[in-house]
Amino acid sequence: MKAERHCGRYVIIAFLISSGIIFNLLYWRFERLSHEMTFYEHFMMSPVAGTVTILLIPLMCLSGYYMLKELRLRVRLEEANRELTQMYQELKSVEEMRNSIISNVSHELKTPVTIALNAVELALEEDDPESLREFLGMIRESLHRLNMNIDTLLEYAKIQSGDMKLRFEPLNLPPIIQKVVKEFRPMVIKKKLEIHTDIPPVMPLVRGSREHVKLVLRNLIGNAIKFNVEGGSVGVSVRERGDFVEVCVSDTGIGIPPEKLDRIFERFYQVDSSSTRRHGGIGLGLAIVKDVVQAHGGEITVESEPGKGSKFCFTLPLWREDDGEAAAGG
Amino acid sequence: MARLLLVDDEPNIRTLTRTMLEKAGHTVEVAEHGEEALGILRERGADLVILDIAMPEMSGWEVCRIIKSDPALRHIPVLMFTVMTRDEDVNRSFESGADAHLKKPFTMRELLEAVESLLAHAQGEG
Repeated sequence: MKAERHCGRYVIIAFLISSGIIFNLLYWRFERLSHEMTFYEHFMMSPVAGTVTILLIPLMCLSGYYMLKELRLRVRLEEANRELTQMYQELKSVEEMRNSIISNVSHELKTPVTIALNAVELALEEDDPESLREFLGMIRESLHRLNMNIDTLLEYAKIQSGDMKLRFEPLNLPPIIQKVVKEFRPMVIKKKLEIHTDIPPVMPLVRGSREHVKLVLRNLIGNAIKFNVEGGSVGVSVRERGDFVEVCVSDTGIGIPPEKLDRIFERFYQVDSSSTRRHGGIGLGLAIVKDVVQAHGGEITVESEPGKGSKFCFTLPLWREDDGEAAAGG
Repeated sequence: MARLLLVDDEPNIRTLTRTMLEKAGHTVEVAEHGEEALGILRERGADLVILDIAMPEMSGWEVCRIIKSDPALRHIPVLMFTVMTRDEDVNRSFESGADAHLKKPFTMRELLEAVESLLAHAQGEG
């Protein structure tokens, strides 16, 4: 530490000066008998010199003490300064985050509205049935997108207010996963992706809330598709792991830089947070996923390599006999 | 009629806006991102650029700044169209050199009015 180095220096200087004076004095006392004393030697031997020396030593000590004290204060000041700067930066980044949340949310809500409104405007003037059908398709797609975004916001609001109602029941995961995978079929085809599933037909039951488990799966599989490259693949696998069942969703997408990996579960965090980011989304999906998985007593982990893809795994506890009793009792 | 370049990363918005502009008799070229737009402009030019802001890699602001700092392209009017409607965002558009800022969602009339007024203005100057 810088401050400690300074302390050491002052102590050494004080020590050198005071010891120099003492040695000087001893030398003159020793030498005085061997030759004629000069004026300086006389002075050094006089009571004045003794008094000065005696006063000087405690003075040196005192000044050393105050130097140290000042130093300590300076160190504390530096620390306080650093803390203040850090706090200011944090405040600024909160402000920036707030702004980016506003623009994300408004972008995600207004873009589908723009599409729907413009399509309606054109459809009203359109006679050709083929074009009309195309406009209606756009309206449907944008309304779906809008609805999904509103759902995410509402789900988030619920979790925020501590109103996540988990109704635990014994769940058979394979058919649930298959069903969610099927929901994404149109998106998978549109992006020319391949989806590989490694799901044993028979798995032990897990303890979970059906709608919430689906929400987690939808988010992870949706992300695996959204962040994938055209022609890439998505993998979904399930396996038993101790007292848990582990579900993994992997993709061959853009991946996540290592320094951003531990932040992706934060609310409103976006790996690419620039106002011009490539991938839409409100930035709540993974935060919700993490809350839900943890509320189940499970864990979620992520591995990723930029440019190669990401793999998200979450666990759900196995259903035990007494879970049923607890549910019945509660 | 005028040759317009429309730049937006959202395919549906590209299709719809293009249809609206073509109905008004303009010739419309489209680009998905800034890089492509700048390529088209350098190769063939355009009478007007309609630019989205939130795009991958390069924002509309950046694209606009490049257009406006290129002596060969500087004269082309730029219309920003975006869902970003806060004062800061509008200011940033003008700072980057944009000639007008149109907020999304817009109606066909608003779009055409903005386009016509920019074209008329550009003609008056040229």
